[in-house]
Amino acid sequence: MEFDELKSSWQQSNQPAKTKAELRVMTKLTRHPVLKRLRIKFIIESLLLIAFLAVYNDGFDGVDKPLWANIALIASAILFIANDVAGYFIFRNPVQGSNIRTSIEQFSRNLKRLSVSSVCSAFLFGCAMILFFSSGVDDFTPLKGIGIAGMFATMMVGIYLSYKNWSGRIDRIQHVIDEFDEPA
Amino acid sequence: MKEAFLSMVEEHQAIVHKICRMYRDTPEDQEDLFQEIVYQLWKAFPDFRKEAKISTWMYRIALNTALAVFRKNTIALVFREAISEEIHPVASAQVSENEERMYAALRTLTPAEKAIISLYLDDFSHREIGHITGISENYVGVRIHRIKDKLKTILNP
Repeated sequence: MEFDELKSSWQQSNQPAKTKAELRVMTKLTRHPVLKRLRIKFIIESLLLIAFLAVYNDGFDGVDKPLWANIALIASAILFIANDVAGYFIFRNPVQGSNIRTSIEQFSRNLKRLSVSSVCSAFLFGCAMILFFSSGVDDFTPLKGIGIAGMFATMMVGIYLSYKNWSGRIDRIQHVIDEFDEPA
Repeated sequence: MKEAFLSMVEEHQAIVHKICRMYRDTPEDQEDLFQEIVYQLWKAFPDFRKEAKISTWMYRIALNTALAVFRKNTIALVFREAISEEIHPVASAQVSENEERMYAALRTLTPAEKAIISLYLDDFSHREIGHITGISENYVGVRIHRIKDKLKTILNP
């Protein structure tokens, strides 16, 4: 296949045309595939956190815990949800610059900020949970210590996996930016 | 405003189809990307300056979306897009085969190379490609030369 044939194939290439009605549906936010997935994730996480905050006082004796542990838990849960909202808006607006390169660079900067805030908010929420549950422990036995260490280790594994996921996304975008760079 | 937008996209939708087929392997991913692009085009439409070519504007938004949006984490399945001859007219079999080979070759390129060559294949000048992608006109020429060499090797091993 010669290059001219390839060019001709490109210019003639077409798929079954979408109708206006189909295109109209695609302009609706509810049909946005990535945002739909993010929205489901956001709703599930928010509902779980709200359910937890609704029952933690009775279910986990919140009234018997120190005030600072209660505040830390609620504040970190709100921070976690706020980070989800920020992520939703960043993924909703991937096109921002006047050309592809500046737009991808801006998107990459937003993504880096979001990755830091995501990892930090998850870490803070995890620590707040551990502090909350361990704050009421009166007699600190080795078994309880192992339990807390286990919770902390599990949290760190989760945060590491989240960090790896973010790194992969950022590296992929950075690779695209590097490709547009002209050699000095 | 929405009617004008829909008419414009309906008329120029081949651009979006081609980008989707080049950047995504499976029909499902291509359909997802198509929706993403139409949504981003609609969001950007109020700022669309009529003095710009529609195709320039559509390519910029569509390529930008294809490069930035993350695809779903799914197990990779290989689909053959070719349709059996029973339901595919024999006259268009050659066209379909050429298209298959073309997309297979284009998918081996890097994301930035795909963006540059797609604009070149649709007869954008080096200056226009530089303007859309954000790289200099001279460097566009260098990149196109390299991409063409790469494609020639892939298409004629």
